[in-house]
Amino acid sequence: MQNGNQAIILSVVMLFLLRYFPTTLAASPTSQPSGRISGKVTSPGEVPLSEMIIYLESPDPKREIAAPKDPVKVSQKGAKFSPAVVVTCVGQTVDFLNDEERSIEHNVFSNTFVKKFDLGLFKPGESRSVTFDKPGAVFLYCSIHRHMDGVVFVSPTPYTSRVEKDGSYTLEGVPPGIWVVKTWQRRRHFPEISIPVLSEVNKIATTDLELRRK
Amino acid sequence: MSPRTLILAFVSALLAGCQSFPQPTPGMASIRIQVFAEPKAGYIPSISGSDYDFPGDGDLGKGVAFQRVDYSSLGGIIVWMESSPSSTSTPAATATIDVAAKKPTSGAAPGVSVNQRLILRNIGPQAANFYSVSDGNEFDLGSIPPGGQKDYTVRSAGLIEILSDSSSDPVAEVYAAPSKWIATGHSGSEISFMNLPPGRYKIASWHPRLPGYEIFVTLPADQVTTATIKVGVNALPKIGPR
Repeated sequence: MQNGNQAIILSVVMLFLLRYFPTTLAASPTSQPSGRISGKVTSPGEVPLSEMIIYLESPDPKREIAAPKDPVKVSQKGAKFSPAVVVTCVGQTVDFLNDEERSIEHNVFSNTFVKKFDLGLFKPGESRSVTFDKPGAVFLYCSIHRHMDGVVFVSPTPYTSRVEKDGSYTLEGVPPGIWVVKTWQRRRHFPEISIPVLSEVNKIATTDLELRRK
Repeated sequence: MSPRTLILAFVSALLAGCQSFPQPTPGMASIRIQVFAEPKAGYIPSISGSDYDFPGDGDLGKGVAFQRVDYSSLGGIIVWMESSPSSTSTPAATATIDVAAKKPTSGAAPGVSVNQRLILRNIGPQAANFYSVSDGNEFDLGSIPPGGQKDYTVRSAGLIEILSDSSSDPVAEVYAAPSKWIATGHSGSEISFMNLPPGRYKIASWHPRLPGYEIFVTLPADQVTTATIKVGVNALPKIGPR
């Protein structure tokens, strides 16, 4: 019920903001006039937040947002994905490289509904690429090594920030207009939250987020 | 399928043939399901070196990082039978899950069914809160004293992580299937469901890492049907040469 109320309040705020602050500029992570969104994430406990991502979503599904052209690199060395948590954007490619120094094959697969794939078996020095076309968390495994796991978080926009251990985050280069600030936790201990925010050129919008159990 | 898996399958089939399997009660049907997990097609263990030849970086201990998945005995494979609408119309019996604060879950997640009543029993020495933020199964049971219990009725299919502390790993995990006919097995095992209404069913499976498997079977009355499911990555869309 509370989630329902939050959704209604969020919708009303979004309609108000869209009515009076229409999003007219196409978003791009490049050199357009932009603002910054920053804040602090708090929670009832001493929660390690280093595996938490803050990202922006546009309330306007027609808003065009260009993905970064450079691929993200993920190494497989010591039977580990490195980095183990990768943040990418819809439309962006991730290159998986077998970086082992010895003759050890790896495989990368995901059974997540966001992106199901099997990159086959590849030897040291070889790489495989995947382009992610839907937002969400894609959990990675190796079919050979039982302790190898990682995750690619595919954000709907390139505006993302890892949450620091003190809870702070900063989203840079945000085009002006209405956005929704959202959370994603690798190991979810709290319901994810969404808060509308207005980005203005050369201004800092402060948006603090409080995680609660309910 | 590896030679070891084939041998296991052969021995299982031989043993199954030697044992008399009870017939279903008149007008009902039964099924025996052989469960297998298979490695990636084309995988040759000798190329990847020994499990313990490479020390890893120490996080998991010597050799552990390179431990391989043992498909011949892979556990935690949850199998269920679906036949709308009867699969969940009568909930399965109550399931009791023992939990304790700050005691992370170990072992495979047990299977439960949608609409089933779960009893969470606090076996820890202190009172603790137990809650979940898993999609479709959000709940907060509040404080449960040592030895006490509270219950929750499963609302939605999927993995349910039960937490006691917002800074710790889950204290229990259960997988909820949209069926009251649910069981957990391991590669090489046989799962059987007795006295089901005859008709068409989907056999489905779930594993925390590997893709599930689905097949459809028709169960005739007064007969024991057999089926095989294979869990592994080979059904996933492939990107790359092999």
